[in-house]
Amino acid sequence: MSLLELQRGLREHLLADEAEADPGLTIYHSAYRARLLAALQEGYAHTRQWAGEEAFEAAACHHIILNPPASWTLDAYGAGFSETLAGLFAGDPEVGELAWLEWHMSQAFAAPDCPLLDPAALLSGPMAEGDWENMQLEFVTSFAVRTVRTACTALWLGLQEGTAAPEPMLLPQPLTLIVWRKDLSLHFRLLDQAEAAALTALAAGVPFGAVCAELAKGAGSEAAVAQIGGWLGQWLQDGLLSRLAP
Amino acid sequence: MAEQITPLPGFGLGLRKEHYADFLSREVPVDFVEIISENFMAAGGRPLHTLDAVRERHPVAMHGVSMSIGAAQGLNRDYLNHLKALADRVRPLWVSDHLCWTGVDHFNSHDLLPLPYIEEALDVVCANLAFAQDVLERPLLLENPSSYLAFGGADYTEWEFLAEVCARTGCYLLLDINNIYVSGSNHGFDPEAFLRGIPAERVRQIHLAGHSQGEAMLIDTHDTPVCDAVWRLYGLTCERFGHAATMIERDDAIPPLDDLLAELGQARAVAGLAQGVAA
Repeated sequence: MSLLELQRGLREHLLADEAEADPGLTIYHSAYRARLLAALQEGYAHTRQWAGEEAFEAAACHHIILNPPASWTLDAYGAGFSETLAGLFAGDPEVGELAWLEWHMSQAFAAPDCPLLDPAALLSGPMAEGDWENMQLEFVTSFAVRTVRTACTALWLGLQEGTAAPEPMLLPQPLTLIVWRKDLSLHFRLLDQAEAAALTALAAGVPFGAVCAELAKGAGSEAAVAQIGGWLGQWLQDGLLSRLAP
Repeated sequence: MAEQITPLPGFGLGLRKEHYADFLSREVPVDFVEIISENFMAAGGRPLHTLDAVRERHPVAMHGVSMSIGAAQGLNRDYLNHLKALADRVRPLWVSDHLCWTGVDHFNSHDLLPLPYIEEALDVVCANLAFAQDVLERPLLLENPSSYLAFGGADYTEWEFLAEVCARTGCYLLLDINNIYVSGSNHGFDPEAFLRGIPAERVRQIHLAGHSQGEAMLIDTHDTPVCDAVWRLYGLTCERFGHAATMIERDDAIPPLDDLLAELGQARAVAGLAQGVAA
């Protein structure tokens, strides 16, 4: 048997539902599952607490069977687990959304460092040169965004601080959730529909002028300018913006 | 590879997150710290910020678990590139990993899986090691793992295999004394024979750790203090390899830092006694 055949054989053993009778093989078989389970338990601590130990472990084992790890880093293993949870806990949508929040906070924690956009550069650049319509903004590397139906952020805070879960869990209407890191601090925030539309358009590379024009359709030009100016100041202060697109 | 690694006869601890605040807020009496490389191969954020701050206070050794030096299909270049970037940033005392393989066909077990000590495996390990040393532009330290599985038809003992890898590639060794004890117990070899077969001039670091008794074998759990039998073996190790740096590994049930410093004090005492005997 070649070394490659031996290694493939041991991989098949690790992935098999049942360990073989050999005590050494049994140790490797159970250590493989235990290590992946521990990675999910550590990476999704609040989700684990909310879902309950037994239900979380059953979901994690399901995920481990369907998703053998491929990356060289165990830190990547949690990717996609929130989707698994969303499917398994379809009647409790806060579980998958809470998991998404935890995962993206962990990703933001170690995302590449990047400069923050200096408001002075904005004012002396495209704003001063009258080229603000074509201005495109780049967001910090840790930025992540999605739509949520539940009060998953309040749930996360409650679990973090040991306070009661929000009631009701379902939001009156879906909102946009953003996650990012400023310096070394993690942040998340829920946005209303208008701010979310402007921010997600800019994050997708839509020029500033087009975003303003879209906003003006509903609010009128003057109100739109005031509104987006306020948001821009908030985004700069929050550390969401990294630089002007070249 | 021409570059040499100068011996550092010091005593260190693994840098674990439970002790970050200690290492950043007070003088910790260690000669170096060892990091798990993969914990800091992130692109940015707090992990690297913390490491930079610790690096200002202590020399750092980098210890990896994901190189998969025995992989029949070769090494992952993306992993090596990330490791090289970290090494360039940290400028470590040295970079180490294990004599094992971790995966095949894009599957990664995240475990230190055992190799058969056969000619083909020796060729694979030496080719992979030479490639890694070229990419990293430095010689590596190779650690003996604990193992729970032995393969028939071996051409070498584990220590013969390690000695041959050193001779062929110019790499150095990280001897894990607990792993020698655990594997010796699990596979029925004499730990002292292991030590006698190791080329002393290639040893640069020593690991000490605790283990647990499994149902049928000893398990390398790193969750208990070093046991008496491993201390005795460490004394013999110091008589032969007293020039090497010693470190205590604790990865689970991590106690307060002062407890580990007291255990490190015991290592200093055992080493001092052994070197007195050797002199």
